[in-house]
Formats: sequence, structure tokens, C-alpha cells
Amino acid sequence: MTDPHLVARAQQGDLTAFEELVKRYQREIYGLACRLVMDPEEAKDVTQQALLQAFIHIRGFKQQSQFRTWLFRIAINQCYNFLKTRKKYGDPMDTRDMKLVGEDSPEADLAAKQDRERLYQALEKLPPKQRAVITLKLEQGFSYEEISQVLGGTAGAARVNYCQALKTLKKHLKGEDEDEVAVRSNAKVAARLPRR
Amino acid sequence: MKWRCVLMRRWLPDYPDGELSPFWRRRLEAHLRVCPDCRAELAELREVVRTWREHPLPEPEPGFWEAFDRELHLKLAQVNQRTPEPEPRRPRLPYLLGASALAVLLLFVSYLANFQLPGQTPRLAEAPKPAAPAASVPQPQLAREAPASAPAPARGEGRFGAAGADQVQTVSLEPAPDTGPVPEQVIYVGLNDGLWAGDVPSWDVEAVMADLSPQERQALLKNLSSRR
Repeated sequence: MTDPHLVARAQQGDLTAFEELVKRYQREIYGLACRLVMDPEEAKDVTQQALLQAFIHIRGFKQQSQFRTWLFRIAINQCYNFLKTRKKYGDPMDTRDMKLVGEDSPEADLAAKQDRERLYQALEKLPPKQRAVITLKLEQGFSYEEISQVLGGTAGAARVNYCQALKTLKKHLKGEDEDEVAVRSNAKVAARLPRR
Repeated sequence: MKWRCVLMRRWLPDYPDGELSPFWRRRLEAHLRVCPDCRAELAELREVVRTWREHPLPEPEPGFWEAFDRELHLKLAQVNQRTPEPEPRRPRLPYLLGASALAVLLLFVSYLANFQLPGQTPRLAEAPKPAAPAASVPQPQLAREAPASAPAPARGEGRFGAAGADQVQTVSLEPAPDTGPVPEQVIYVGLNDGLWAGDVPSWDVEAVMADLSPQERQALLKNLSSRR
């Protein structure tokens, strides 16, 4: 059964139809929440909250866009709300403490583990919107048009955002932090200063 | 960095298999052949994408999704029980505000319409005089319905006021067997008032009755009343 049929049944209060929709997309939503929230337990709560919100408001869904896009938008808004609350009330996450389930398998070699930690640390430094756009593009395979429907704006803006996110991630992966850049620039400036 | 490199690097993440138009693909290929810096930038971006794809999110433990579905099902069932039926759509607030503003405006306009300066007060038209009493309504010339006690009109009163008293006769009709007593009727004879100087139409009962004797007159009236 296609998504529009299930959505139409869910809009009439059919819980089974909605749970069928949930089973189709819950893994993608959870993956997006993990990338954005950077905490598996919080990502699980955010995913459940997003699916609940979708069920509550599904009567207002007019099927002018894909259900998947609409669901991702709700999930991203829930992630933004969570990040805003966490930023407001503290509880900063340390990516070194973030252990996804199954990550510490004994067969994982040390280099891969270091790469993963480096990637997570670089990801944490990205702004949430860039994290979202790079996740939607690289993991979910969304087009720029779909990304613009999820995040708002135009497809061109989504492309520019993705390009900027890749460059920022590359900079963080290479270790070109703002602090190092600042130190280097200060050294250059200091070298130009006349010695007494 | 040249301005051309800045322009081209905006399209690098979509090269070669991204959403890139053929025009920009050809231009980018041509530029990459001649620009080593942009080739290095492209290689670094590909390395970032490769690193990302090499480290996908690991799958959670086996019982994770079962527990997830169980918790979510309970929450959805609770929400489904509490979710009320959609209420009929209420009028929106702007419409209410607009309606109230329109009502106030109409009240103000009606107030302005009733507002008049003291010197410009127009005089109301005089009310029409009350209708004449029923007694002064002109009676038909052969008013059979007039009460029996109605007196004969005095001189100078009524429709036949100008006529002389000798021109008015009182005729008492014979009572019909089924209708009871018939009151006396005042009959205007009008022989000398000049109104009948000309040709008298043949249908004028009074003109015809003027030449009749009282017995003939009664017979004629009886005949007429029986025909009505």
C-alpha cells in the first residue's frame, strides 16, 4: 500500500495505518536525530516525540508534499527545539562520551575508531542547519528540492548550504580550527611588527 | 585565488555525479584541467564525503526497535484516545474584528445621518387629518343598509344638503318574508335641483322613480331588491 493510501487511512484515525508508516521511516528519522542531537538516548526520545506530533497533526497534512518530507520537517523541528533547550539549560554533550550502540565492537580497529571520533567532533562543531543539510544529502539521499522543502528556503539556498557545510567539515577534519587560524594570523602579524 | 576559481568551487560538491547542469559540468571540467588548486580542493571534498560514508551510524542493539515500537505504540494509543474529533471550524478572529468594526461604522454613520443643526431643522410634513367619521361617509343613493333609526339629513348637511327638504322622501319598504323588517329608506328625489336638467340616462333609477307613484315606486324597489 502506498504512502498516500496509508496517510488517508491514518487521517481517519486508523492507528494501524500510521504504525505502518512509522515502520517505514522510523530508522531514517532516528538516524537524522542521532546526527543532529549526537546522543542515542535523546535521539530516541526526539524520534518518538516527532512521530507523536506527526500523528497528532496528520489531519492537517494536505498531501501537497510527500509524507516523508513532511515527517522529516517535523523531526528536524523537534531536534532544533531539543538543541535550543539544551543550549538554554546547559548539559553540553561531549562527543568523546557519545557511544552509539554497537560502536565499541571488538573487531573495530583503532584507526577507524579514531576517524569516527574525529568525524563526530567535527560534526559537533557544525551549525545545526549545516549538520541537517549534510545528513539529508549524504545519508538520506535527498535532492536539493527536497532539502528545501524540509528546511525551508529554495533549492539554490540548499545547494549553497550543502557546499558550505562540506567546506566547514573539511576544515574541521583537517584540524583548521578557528583558534589555530587565529594563532597563525597573529604570528604573521607579529612577524611583520618591527623588533625593538 | 582567482575569481574564476571562486566561481567554480561553488559547484565542486556536485561534481561529477551531483545535480549539475551539462553547461556547468562542461565548464567545470574545462576549468579543472587547467587549475591544480581546484583539483586539490575537489580531492579534499571527496575525501570528506568518503569519510562520512565510511562511518555510518551503527545499528542499535537487536532489541532496540522492538522496545521502540512498544513504547511508541503505547504513546500513540494514549494520544489516540485523547484526540477529540475535529471541531467545526470556528470563524476566525479577523472576521470577528471586521464584523464588529463594520457594526461600529454603521452605528456612527446612522448617528451622523440623524444629527441635525438646530437652525436647519426641517419641518415635518403635517400629519393628514383623521378620516371622517363613518356617519359622514357619503351614503349610496339607495342605501339599503342604513339603520332604521337614521334620521333624514337636515338642511345643509350631507350629500344632499343643498337640496330642499321637499326633494327628500322617506320610503318604507315592505318587509320581505325571509329577511325580516326592512327599514325606511331615504330617497333623494331631486326634481328641482337642476342636476337632472339634461338628458337623463335610462339606467338612473332615481330619475325613473321620480315619475312613479308611491305604489309603483315600492313595486320597483321590491323588484330591484329581489334581483340583487
